[in-house]
Amino acid sequence: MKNRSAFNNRLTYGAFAIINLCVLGMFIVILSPIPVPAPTAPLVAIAPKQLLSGPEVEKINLGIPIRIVVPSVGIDLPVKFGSYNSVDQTWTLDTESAFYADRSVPSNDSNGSTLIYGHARSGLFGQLPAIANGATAQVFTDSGKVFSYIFVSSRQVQPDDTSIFVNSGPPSLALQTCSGPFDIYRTLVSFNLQKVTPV
Amino acid sequence: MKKLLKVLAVALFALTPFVISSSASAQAVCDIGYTGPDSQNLCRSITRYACEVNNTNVVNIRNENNQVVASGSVETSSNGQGGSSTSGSVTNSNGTTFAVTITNTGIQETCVAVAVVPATQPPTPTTPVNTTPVQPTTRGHVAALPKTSGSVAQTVLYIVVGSLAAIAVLGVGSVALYRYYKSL
Repeated sequence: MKNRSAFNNRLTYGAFAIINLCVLGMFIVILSPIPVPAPTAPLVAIAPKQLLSGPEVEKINLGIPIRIVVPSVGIDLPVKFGSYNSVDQTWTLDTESAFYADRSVPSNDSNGSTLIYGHARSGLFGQLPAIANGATAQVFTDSGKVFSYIFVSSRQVQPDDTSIFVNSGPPSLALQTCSGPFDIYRTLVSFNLQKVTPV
Repeated sequence: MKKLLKVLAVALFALTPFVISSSASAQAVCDIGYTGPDSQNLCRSITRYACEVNNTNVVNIRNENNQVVASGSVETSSNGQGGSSTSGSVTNSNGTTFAVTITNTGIQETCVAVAVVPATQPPTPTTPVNTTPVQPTTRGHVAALPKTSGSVAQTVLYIVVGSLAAIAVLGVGSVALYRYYKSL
């Protein structure tokens, strides 16, 4: 009887030990600085834009974003001008709107990635990580043009990963918000330009 | 003398229809666009005149002037210096002039239509210019992405719940491990 009780105790303690190790492992995985790749949509082949047509240079459509709409996740926000403070390495931010990062290219149909960021809160970019394939985004600009984009991929990066600030490559849009435990990651949702239309 | 006067009267009456009663002229210009490599331009000038007099004469003038010019093709190879080459420009003249005169001798009117289509001037050859890529509104090095954190309440909740859960689990687990080894 005593042996059986001792066996049960060992079994119980052993189970607790295993659970303990599992929980520890879970915390290690969650807090580890390895970005978790998010689902990625298949790449859509987009024909490179013909910049030159005949002897005259084609006019490039561009404008500063003033409004961002992502219908599938309920985002419809005004966009303010977001500046970078190189002293304390912070960006303009508030809890009422999204921001166009002035260190990225304005919305255009020529080149580079336009970055718009916002807080990971309800009513702002809180639902951004839930974006799915087929999602679209419209950026209204101060030039009276609407730039329509289609979702390409989503990824988590480290806060110091500034590779999004590229001025080359096809025109694209990146929406950024914080993610992960205690906002230790930055989620970047990428879109490719589809078309430019007047408002 | 009377006979001479009759002859002169008949002659004067016969020449009267040649008085010009109307005239018309028009100019048409068609622009030529891109004339560089692989360019195609079609310049068509069609002028129609309808001249109607008593006995209804209709004159259609159709003047088509099709011309083809081609610049030579250019090929470069083994161009280690990365130099460029261009083909020469070509021009042609597509001007035309026509005149039509209608004379209705049975009546006393004459229509004269004259149209002149000037040659289209080719545009000044333009060297294609590389488009300057769009640049950021503000330039400079960026060290970090924006810290777009969630709500403070949510963060505090994360911390409290997470800490309590961790303390509970680790405490129970530690006790369990201690008792397990003690029971061996």
